[in-house]
Amino acid sequence: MSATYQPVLWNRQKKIYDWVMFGLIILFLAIFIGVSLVLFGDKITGETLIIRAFGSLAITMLHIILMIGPLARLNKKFLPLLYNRRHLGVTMFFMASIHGVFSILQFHSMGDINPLVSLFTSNVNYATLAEFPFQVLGFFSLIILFLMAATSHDFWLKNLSPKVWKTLHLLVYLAYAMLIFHVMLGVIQLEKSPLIVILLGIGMLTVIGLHLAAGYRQKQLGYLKEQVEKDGFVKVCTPDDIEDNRAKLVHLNGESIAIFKYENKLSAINNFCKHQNGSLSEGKFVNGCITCPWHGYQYLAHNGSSPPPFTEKVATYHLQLIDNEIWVNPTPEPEGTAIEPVLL
Amino acid sequence: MKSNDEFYIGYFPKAPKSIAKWIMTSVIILVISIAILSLLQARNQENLQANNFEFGKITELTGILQTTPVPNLVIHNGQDINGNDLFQSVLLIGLGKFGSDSLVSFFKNKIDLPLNQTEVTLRGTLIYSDGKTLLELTEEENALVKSVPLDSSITISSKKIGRIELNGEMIDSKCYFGVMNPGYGKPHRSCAIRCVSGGIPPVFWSTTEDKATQYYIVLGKNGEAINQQVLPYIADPICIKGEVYQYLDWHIIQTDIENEITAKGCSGF
Ligand code: HEM
Ligand code: FES
Repeated sequence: MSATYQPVLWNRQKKIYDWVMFGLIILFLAIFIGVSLVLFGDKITGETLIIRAFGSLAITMLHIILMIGPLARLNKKFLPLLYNRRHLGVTMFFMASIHGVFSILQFHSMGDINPLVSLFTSNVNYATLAEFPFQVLGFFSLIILFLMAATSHDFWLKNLSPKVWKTLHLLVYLAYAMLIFHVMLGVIQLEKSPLIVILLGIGMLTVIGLHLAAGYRQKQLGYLKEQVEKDGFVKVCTPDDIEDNRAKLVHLNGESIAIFKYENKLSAINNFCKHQNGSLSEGKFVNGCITCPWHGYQYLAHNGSSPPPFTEKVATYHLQLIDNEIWVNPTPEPEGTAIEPVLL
Repeated sequence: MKSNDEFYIGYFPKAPKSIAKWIMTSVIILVISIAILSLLQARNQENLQANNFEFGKITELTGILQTTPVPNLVIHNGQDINGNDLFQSVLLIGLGKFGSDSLVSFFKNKIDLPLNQTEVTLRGTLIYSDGKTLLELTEEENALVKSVPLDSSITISSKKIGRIELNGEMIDSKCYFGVMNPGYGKPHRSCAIRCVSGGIPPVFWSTTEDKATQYYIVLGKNGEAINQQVLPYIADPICIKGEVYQYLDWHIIQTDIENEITAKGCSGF
């Protein structure tokens, strides 16, 4: 959360995150380049080695990035991996650009037409699948990755509006699909061994499987078995069903509501964090504030507003306690409206 | 510790113990997976050729400059067991993805005598593999070091061998014999198209039954360059028919582009 923008708000966890990330990148490159030189050192050229090492690195990183989201939804202990995922994404873009730029230089530059024109016009079998110009798919994926990396800062999140930003960042799945074809159509037909197909297949199944599992989990959460309604209020659960400083999620009339129990009080706010839609019901009441599990944005429980100087606000909902049952009114109050908490 | 108390906040200096432990375990698994993935992907590169492109090293070669069948320099290459002189043809290539036709005509104009009566020395970067040699005229117009008149004129000609029908692939000679690795097949296709389009002689390669590779410089049916016309066939499996000639250590195939190149394998294969 921020009132003003700085390039990166560094903290210890982010530094550890980045050091581990760079360590893993170095490890990958060292092994790839080492093994290539030992096995094929007499044949492979420097450019080819760079193109292949960075292409393989980027696609490996992309798989990891795509697995973090659903893993964190399936098990909250993975949330630290989500915390600084954007650095992972931006770094992956740089690795992919090294691959892309070297490919364009190697395969298209110093010729009779502009390298970028050559990228699109040298192989023109656009109407076939097997012969499709696979480099073009890599190019468009790289453009998407560029747009995502360029707008990854919270400044853009605010200025583009979270909705536009989120949609833009969903394009990563389009990029991923195009990259699967980029690799399949490009390399697989050259190398005889089916290893890359198998690796890519396993990677793809893992990414899809995790997303399906997380989606299924999410669906099951927060739906009431039966909906008992009276005077606009819906019966949810008893206060004992909610742990201290934690929340219960309910989906009602298209609203996702997080009902928090804290300091012997109950308050209900909208479930979605204004930062990147983190699920506040999986957050915790810490130091007097509801704290988002993703990047730690904070909201006051009674009015859904971030403490000053921050300005984020979410909708609030009315609660009632009748015969030790919590009832919620699913009609939201405007974002940031203060509502007296229910006392236990 | 109750599960309720574990909560990760990134900007707090320390993660809760149990979460930190979980992440440590994940990172260890990640390190092992990354190592294995990197190893597997690196090992998988099978199709590499033993090519040579002496990038950064300039070599001088002396011989007879020829503009046909494609620009080349004929150099003296020892003698056979009967004491006959042996000659080798070094294909001349431009810088980047260009042929050397315009450079060679420029040199031809600079040399007063007919090419057959002159010995020239050219500077450039050597490209070689599988017994074939090419010279990139890296310094372009400055590649001609000197020309010396010969006592007598030398004739170098092609011998007709006969008609042939072959399955194989057409590539650009510069990348295939040295600059890239591999310089054939699909990933390299757009580059090969660029090179052939820029005037680098297309070469057709085909493997015989005993796994030996044969190379043929591809020309039109009257011996003319057909670089632009062959572009749709580059780096694809094709069947080619035509008249084969021997030019020193190279084979030439003269083909009728309209009728004698087909995108599928030859019938009977
Ligand atoms: C302008 C954009 C791109 C171009 C021109 C391009 C070009 C190429 C080329 C020519 C190859 C074959 C290289 C060879 O085996 O010799 C290749 C392979 C590959 N590309 Fe790309 N690519 C681009 C973008 C990307 C991106 C964004 C990624 C992933 C994030 C990627 C991942 C890969 C992978 C994994 C391979 C197979 C391994 C390898 O041989 O490098 N490419 N690409
Ligand atoms: S803090 Fe980033 S989504 Fe809530």
